[in-house]
Amino acid sequence: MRSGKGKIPGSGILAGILIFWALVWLAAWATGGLDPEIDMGARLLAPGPGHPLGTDDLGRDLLGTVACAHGLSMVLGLVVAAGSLLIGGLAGMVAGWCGGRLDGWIMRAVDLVLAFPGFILAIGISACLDPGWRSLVAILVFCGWPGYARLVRVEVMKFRTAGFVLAALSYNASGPRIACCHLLPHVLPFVMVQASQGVGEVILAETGLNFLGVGLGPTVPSLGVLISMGMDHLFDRPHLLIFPGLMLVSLVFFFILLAHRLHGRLAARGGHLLGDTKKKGNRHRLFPLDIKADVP
Amino acid sequence: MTDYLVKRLLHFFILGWIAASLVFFLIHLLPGDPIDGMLGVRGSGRDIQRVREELGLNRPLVLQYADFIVRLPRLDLGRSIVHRRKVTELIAAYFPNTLVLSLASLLVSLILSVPLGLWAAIRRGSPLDTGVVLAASLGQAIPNYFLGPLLVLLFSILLGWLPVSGSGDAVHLVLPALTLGWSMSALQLRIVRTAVLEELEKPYVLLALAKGVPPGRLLRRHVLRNALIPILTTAGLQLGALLTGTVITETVFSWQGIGRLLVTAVRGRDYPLVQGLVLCMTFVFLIVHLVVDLVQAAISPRIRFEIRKR
Repeated sequence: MRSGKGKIPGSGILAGILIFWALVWLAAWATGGLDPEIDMGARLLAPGPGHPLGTDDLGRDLLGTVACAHGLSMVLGLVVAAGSLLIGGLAGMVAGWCGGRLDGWIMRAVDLVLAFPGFILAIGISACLDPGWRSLVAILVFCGWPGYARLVRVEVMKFRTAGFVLAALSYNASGPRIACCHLLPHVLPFVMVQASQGVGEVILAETGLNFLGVGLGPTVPSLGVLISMGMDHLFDRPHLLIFPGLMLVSLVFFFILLAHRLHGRLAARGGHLLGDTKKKGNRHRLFPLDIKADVP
Repeated sequence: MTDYLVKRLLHFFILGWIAASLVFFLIHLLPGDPIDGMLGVRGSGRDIQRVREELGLNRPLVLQYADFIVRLPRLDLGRSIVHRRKVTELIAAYFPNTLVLSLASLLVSLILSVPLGLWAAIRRGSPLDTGVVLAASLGQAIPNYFLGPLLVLLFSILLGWLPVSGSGDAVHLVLPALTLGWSMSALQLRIVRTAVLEELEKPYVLLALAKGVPPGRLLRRHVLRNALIPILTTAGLQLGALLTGTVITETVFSWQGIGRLLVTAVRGRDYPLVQGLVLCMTFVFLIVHLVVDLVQAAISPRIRFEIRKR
């Protein structure tokens, strides 16, 4: 059908979100610094000269607190995604390359973790642990690695009998060498797409746990805690809810959109994120994942 | 089919046993004494001893575990410390509310996603299609705990049409069901769109068009009906994923379901109740997946064969 129309400037949206964040960060930095102190004497102040967006339930400057929480969420999301990627990628690589019994055991572990409702287990586990970022990261990585393991395993199996791998085997390259130098460059683009989507999902899970009060503790500036506090002041100070919420949505939307863009690039360039496009038509489309041959 | 049934049931019981053990050992092996956390600074030596005996924590771990596993088939999960009632009684009292909310939001998500997904699929590539898919991405990015309060702000506080929170009659159900249904419909919409696009490619569509079947009838009677299998499968699987959503949505709207019960139990450090609820929700999740698998196997023989080959 009309494949040329319906373009949305996806990169424009991404750039817009980045500019929005930069503005928020700059404004927070200029008006009182990031990570403001708790001051119970200055609770719930209305927006004014010292505090452009007022103060929150604990007397912190809202703008600075939200900027800090936003950065914290992003870093946590990236750290957890990187950790899951490392463990899952290694497990998937070993499973896909070695095959046989080892593959069976690793995939059984993957199925086991995926068979349970991750978020519910995370609530149960964090109820027993002391609050803190270490336990939060550990829980989220535990729930996150199986997805990457599955993906990497399938991709490695696809390339196991490819010409370049057989060539490397023929001159006696070792397993780890083939994995790092030959397989990794082919598998990485697919993993990056999933990781981008994964960062968004991790951020949602992390803020969800914080919202329920089982994450980092009530005094750490976190978007989930801030939203939960904002909910108590819906009648008198609705912006206490809306501003952190907006930052959270922009954060998650950014990574989901990024994943779509990367996937689109990947589909258009036949498995590579950089380099020439094969099919020109798909290149600038926002959601080219499910484009099919034209219907008569 | 019998082979598959037996295998899948065995699988289910093993998973259930692992879940039960995990939930049991979680509280005993993690650092920190649960009693300390439970009583906080208030607990004196005698209090600690009393609670310890009440929970049976003074006996050897192996005995406690054996006791826990033996009581499980009899649906005996111990007593809640805060509520002073049996955990199973509490679950039985709160579960119907969660079920009502889940089914209502599943309905909302189907009502939103099927027409929109169909519409986007037949106008594929148009600005409308991109707009719908973009809106779905945005829908995925708006979590329940932000959307819920936003809806409360709009419909309860600004417009005054609906109650802020609580549970009971149908009026209280509207906002929670809308919140939960919306977040599910984002994923569902994509699946409808892809399923319909796949059907549109098949030769029978061409034949029907050549025969002169009106497009509206073609979509309703043929395309949508065939696309319904993947749509219903994901709806079934989402019923499991719904559990996550109910915990948050029930907390936002003070809906008296097991999700909110879990959150209050976690906050009150009521470990027997946390244990029972996590176990109960995990079992609901496992059972839903079991049923979806079995129904799929009954519908499509291909899945049965694949299992047998393994």
